[in-house]
Amino acid sequence: MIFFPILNAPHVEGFTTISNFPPNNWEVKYKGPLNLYLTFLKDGIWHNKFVESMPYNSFKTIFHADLIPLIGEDVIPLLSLNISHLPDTSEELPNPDFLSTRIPSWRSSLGLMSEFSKTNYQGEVFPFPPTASMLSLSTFFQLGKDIENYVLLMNVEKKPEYRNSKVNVFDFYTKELLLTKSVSNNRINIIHLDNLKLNEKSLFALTCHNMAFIPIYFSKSKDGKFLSIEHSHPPAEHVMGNKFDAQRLIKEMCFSQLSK
Amino acid sequence: MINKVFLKLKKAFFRFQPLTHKPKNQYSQISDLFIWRVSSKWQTYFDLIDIPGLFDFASNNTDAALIIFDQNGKTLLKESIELTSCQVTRIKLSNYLKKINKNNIGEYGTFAIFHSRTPEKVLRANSFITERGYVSYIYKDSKIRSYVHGNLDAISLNEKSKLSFLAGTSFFYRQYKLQHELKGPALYEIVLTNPTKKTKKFIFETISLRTNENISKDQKSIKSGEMIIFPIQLNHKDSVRLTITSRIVMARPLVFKVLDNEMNVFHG
Repeated sequence: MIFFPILNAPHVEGFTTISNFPPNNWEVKYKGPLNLYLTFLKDGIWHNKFVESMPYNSFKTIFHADLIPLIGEDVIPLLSLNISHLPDTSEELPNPDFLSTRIPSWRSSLGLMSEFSKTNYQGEVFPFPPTASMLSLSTFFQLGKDIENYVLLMNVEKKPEYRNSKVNVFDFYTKELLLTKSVSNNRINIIHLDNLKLNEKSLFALTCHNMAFIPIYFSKSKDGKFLSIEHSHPPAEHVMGNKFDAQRLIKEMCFSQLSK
Repeated sequence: MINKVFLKLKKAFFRFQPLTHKPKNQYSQISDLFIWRVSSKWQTYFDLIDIPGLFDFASNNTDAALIIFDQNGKTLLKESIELTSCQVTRIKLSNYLKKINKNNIGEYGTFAIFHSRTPEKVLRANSFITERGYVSYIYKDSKIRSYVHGNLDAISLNEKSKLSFLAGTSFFYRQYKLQHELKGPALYEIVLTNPTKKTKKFIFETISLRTNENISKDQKSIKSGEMIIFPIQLNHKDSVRLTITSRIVMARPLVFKVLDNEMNVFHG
């Protein structure tokens, strides 16, 4: 169950460029058209809107701004590729029936753009279980009076409902709680990181005990001429081998040190 | 029927060729092979944190080994870097390259970071600490650093200071298809390393999105440990996709896009 979200952030426009071809030639043999769908949450139900049939070997770019009249400002737009068609609505996030890949995962270009510049990373999202938690250790803060720093916390869950939680931001060195922010599932939650007493040496931690997110860090010059976006690794990525245990061990250690 | 059986066998065969190999020595440290670019236009930074300390919160400061290679994979410098627990140590590669008493080191190469210890909990799980962290680049007069993370367990360093490449080799040629539309006007610089033990051949093909016809096909040979920058200059209205064919399990490149003062970097 793989989706390609369209990002949004302050003072820039989000876009996603999706491809109908796999990233390698040996995992997926299907070479036909795929139906591009937009899925969004409205009135307590997932809506699935057919966008177009994408020919094999083609790209399609969708801009966040073009979707606002249909889905609203704060709703996360999810693109998917399907061999067959999706129902108009569904009570659980639909399961796209196309074969994805493992080495690497089928990805799209998830980007943000200003009048002057573009930035992107290759990404995708799988729905999180509602019991999952988040620990993001970040080095991405960039200091400067002309620089803005944000984290975009992206969550997708199967159920078509919103529930609320809290994300804490800690200085990892002093263990000081810098900020507590209300967040929601099935959204991209935007947290402004400036004015948190962070500096260039700051390793800071974002924690949430009952909701998981992909933490995407976005820095921009105030004039929009320079943009940077990248996500932090899950703790397990610091280990080769037993990643499951590594994730558990680092989370246990960090959560015990960061008390709130 | 025979064709179907062959395809199934081929698929199974592919799946049993790992993306990367585990080091033989349990106490080895692992790193991605990161790209440095240092010139009048480029600066490169790396954000170091005490990864082993995340497992036991050892309060003592620790260190990591920085090894810088030239574009041919020759070691230029080994340096120990002191890390402050729970803080970021941001290194600027040009500060280290200045120390190299050698002419013509070039404007790009690779580097690796090896942490100095493996926590007991990681050893017990038969696992290894790996550095796949965050590189950032400044192009020209940019006010911000553009970040990209590492993504491969490429090289290991054992207790006897021996380096080994870990990337998996494929029996058959495989294609890596970049799922990103390359659009002009822009210069795209496709960066590939060869973190395998042998020289590998890479075929770069660009295909027009308008006509679906091949525009270019170039073959490059990259020795073990080497890196190359493959340029793709696109004009206004050019739009292409890129395929890389090789006998590396996953020849995923780092991509730089440059246009005037604008730069974007991401991995495939």
